[in-house]
Amino acid sequence: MKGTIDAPVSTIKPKAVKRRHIIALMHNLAGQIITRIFLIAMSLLFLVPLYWMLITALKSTPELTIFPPTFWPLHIQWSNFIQAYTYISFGTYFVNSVVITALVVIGTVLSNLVVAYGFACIRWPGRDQIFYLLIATLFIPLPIAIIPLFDLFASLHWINTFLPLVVPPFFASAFYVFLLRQFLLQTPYELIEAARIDGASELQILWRVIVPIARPAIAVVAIFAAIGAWNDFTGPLIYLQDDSLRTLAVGLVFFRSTHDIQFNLLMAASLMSVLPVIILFLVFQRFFVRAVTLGSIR
Amino acid sequence: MRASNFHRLNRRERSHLIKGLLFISPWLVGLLVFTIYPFLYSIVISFTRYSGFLPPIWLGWQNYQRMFHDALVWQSLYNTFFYAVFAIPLGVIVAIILALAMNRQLYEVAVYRTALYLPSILPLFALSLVTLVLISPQYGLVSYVLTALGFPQMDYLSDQNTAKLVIVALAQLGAGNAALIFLAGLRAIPQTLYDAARIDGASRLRCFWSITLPMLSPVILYNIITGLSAALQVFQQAFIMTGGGPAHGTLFFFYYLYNSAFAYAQLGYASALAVFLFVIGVVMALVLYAIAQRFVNYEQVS
Amino acid sequence: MRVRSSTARSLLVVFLLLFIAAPLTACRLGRLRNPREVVYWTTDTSDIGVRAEKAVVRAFEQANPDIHVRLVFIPGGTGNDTMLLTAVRGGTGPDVSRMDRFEISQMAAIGLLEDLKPLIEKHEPHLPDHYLPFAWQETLYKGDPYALPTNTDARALLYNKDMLRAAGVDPTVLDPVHGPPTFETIKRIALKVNHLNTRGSFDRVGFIPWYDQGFPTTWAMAYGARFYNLAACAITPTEPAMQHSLQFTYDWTSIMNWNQVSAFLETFQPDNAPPSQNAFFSGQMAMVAAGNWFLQNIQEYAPGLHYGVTYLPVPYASQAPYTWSGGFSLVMPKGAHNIEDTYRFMRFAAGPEGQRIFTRETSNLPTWNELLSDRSLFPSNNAFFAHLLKFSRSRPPLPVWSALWDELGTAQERVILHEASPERALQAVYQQVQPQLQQYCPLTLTP
Repeated sequence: MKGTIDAPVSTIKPKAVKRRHIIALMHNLAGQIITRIFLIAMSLLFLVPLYWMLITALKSTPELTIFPPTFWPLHIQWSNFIQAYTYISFGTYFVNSVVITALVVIGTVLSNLVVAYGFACIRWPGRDQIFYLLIATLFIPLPIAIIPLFDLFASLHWINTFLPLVVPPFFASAFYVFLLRQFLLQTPYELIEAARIDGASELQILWRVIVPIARPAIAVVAIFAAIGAWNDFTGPLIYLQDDSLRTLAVGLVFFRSTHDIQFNLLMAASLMSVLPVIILFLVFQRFFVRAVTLGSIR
Repeated sequence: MRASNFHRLNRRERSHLIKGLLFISPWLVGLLVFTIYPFLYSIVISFTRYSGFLPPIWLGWQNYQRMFHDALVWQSLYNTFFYAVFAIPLGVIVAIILALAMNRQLYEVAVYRTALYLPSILPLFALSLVTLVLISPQYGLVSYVLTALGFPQMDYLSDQNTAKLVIVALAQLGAGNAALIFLAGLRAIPQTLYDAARIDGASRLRCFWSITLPMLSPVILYNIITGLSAALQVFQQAFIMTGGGPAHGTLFFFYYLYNSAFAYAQLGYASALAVFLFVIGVVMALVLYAIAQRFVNYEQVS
Repeated sequence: MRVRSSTARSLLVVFLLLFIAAPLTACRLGRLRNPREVVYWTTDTSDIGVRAEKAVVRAFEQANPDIHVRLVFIPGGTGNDTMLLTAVRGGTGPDVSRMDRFEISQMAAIGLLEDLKPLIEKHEPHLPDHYLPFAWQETLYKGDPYALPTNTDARALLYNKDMLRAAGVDPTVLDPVHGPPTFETIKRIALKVNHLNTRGSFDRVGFIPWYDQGFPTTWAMAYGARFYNLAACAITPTEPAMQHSLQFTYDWTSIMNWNQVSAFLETFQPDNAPPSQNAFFSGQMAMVAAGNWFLQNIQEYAPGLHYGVTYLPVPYASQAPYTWSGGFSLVMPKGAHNIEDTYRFMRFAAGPEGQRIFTRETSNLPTWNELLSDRSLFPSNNAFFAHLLKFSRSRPPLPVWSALWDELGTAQERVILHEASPERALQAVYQQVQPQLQQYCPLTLTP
């Protein structure tokens, strides 16, 4: 919304115009100030959990039970992070999370790109009907699948391995296919046809023509797949049994229920679990914004 | 594609068809194995008593009859809808307000965007754990603030309603994501609409109701649909913070399903619950679709 | 293919490495297992429990050097065996697991456990005679044993003599020589001890009937509950005894309601507290219904506490003492690998050798008859608990105790929250659990 009102053309007395102008400007300034205050307040509010995680992680154990709660640790205890690392099998959980996330990202990007290519860049009869089927499947929620899937993986002896978490992403998912297809449809079809005429195979077209153009969309898919895998709780809860296989999500929660652990250590561990996501966000910020525009293409 | 149709295609179309199917084959296989097969399996198992260790025993409609009389089913549905009714509208309203605020041409808007968006991508398990610290009755920040405002000191997780509200509040941290989507939607509304309205003498509020909201209605619908889908599966926060209590006050439907399947080994009954959840989801989607027909405006003004 | 920036290149290398590393991590751990290994899962994760379990395993390995026992601690609560169920279904279950006895018939009924009869008959047909009868009963499903009992316990009322004196109550009033105290007596004492701080919260309480061992089952036993009707093949949660039990807790909320109690407990004994942070040890709670294992905790964390032990309170004066006993056992889940070695371990841990170690470490009571007459195992207050065993009942081995236990707990919570009357809450329990029991009718239980 623009800030200034265009002043109407000159037939009105200059003094009145100026006054209206000033009043309008003041309204606007007030509006801006109120908006700023509101946004600052909301931003602080939203950041409270993260902030509290940080300061709790730095507090010494007795300080956890001070009332009223302190807003900054009296003595900063960096050793909490080290202690959290050694007391909890943090390293193990972290590595597991990383491995699973990496594999999920690879699988997601590869499979969804290939499938989206099939839906967007090749024209074949029946394509659009099957795509509507894909959209319909977006409505089938997870719950109905967990029990049969568990039995399926049990019969394959995949329980208590990473496989149930890592293999399904290699089979594409309706949501990412939808996203990528929207983007790929923007490539001019002539470009693809030209490459075909030149004798390129579909895979070559995919690799040389599409991927360079679709890099931003691929990046978005990769980032969201990474975050989804890192944050996943229910999957590891059901499929990972051994403590040595657990990811950060279930590892921390189960550790809490089998050992006595003070909140400062727990917050230190939580903070260390959250840090990779924050770093990912800060480094790839523009992709997150891009994702929003991608998603809102209807 | 029927075989006869296949032969009617020319050579080019046929080769494209084969290539197309090859390319989407990962999804097709996934559809079969991870969607269609579980769907059918669930339906079949829902008619049996199956513990996972002994062979299934056919029960007919018994599981569904039991479900109808099961107080926990209604309790967990109530909990889930309680959560949905509070979290979804609140989420949409907060997101719209934030989007309106960020739409205001402030040059540091990127800072606000970052701060508001960041919590929505943080792992929910970490946020659940820090919530436990924040709402501790004696030492938590939230308790401190609320008792300073005059509310009685209490353990918010020990009352059925406040426990659910804590989870609703926690969900609002995801509003940043929706706010950005709304912001994009706001920016897509042509300025000419507002200018025309202003010339006609419309007030700011009128502009909001008659232009902004209708033009945002597809985005609002999208948010409600995704919000509902997420609300029907709310589970993690309750698992970590309350264990479903107190007195099953935070036992959400999916949590009950999880318990039936993995804690009590009643896979038949759990499958019946899953089928029921699916039906509810479909019904809600249809209802929303009908509402959308009336209220959602897809016209783009050129 | 030309990859432009060096960061992209290094990312690619990292991904490739991970991609190669992945299949290695996905290897099933089972393939690397030692054939003479016994995997033992236990949910006993308290400091004291961990020490005890390790001691038993160590002793076994010393006596059987060619067998290795892999001890795994897993989370669990009463009635929550999710991890075990999921693991066995997935084919990655343990060879032996610790399990609460009252769940055995339910777990056997769904097919989770191995029938131990063939093993017992092969090695030692007279094994059952060595165990306390009620403990052995709990291991049976359709007449066959599915577990070996390990420990048992009993519940009593512990009281802090110093706190009582400070409130103007003479502790000798509660001395066991007078027999069990009445609810009225306890209430009178509690009212004297209860104290609010300046912010209106409790900082000292006398007694909380729903805390620790104050299960609805406990008080129901005081009123003589039967829990089920064999002929009708039905559970009887709405029986008068159960209603009285919930009424008792309901009436107590007029002295202190749920919110106040929760706030009190959150302060002095929050969920996350280390075992040393206990409202009874720290002198905040004067009386508590607790089990004999509590004595070990006191010795560990509050050795200077001046406390006494007496019978659980009863509703009517001159009523006979009562208590109830639960306890654990060892089970062999389906899919166990190394049956002979596993049985050898079970027999050791659930036999006199293992039980002796366990009793000494945890102040629990053994179920092996011969050990009960060994005085040296029951120093001071433990002797009182051993004495209690003759007044003790156990819970009847119904195959629905997991659900029944949970639901009775919920009913108690609802009553305390004033959300339902005892009758309505218990009717809900019946409606919830009876259909599950129905599947097992007719029941074959020896009452």
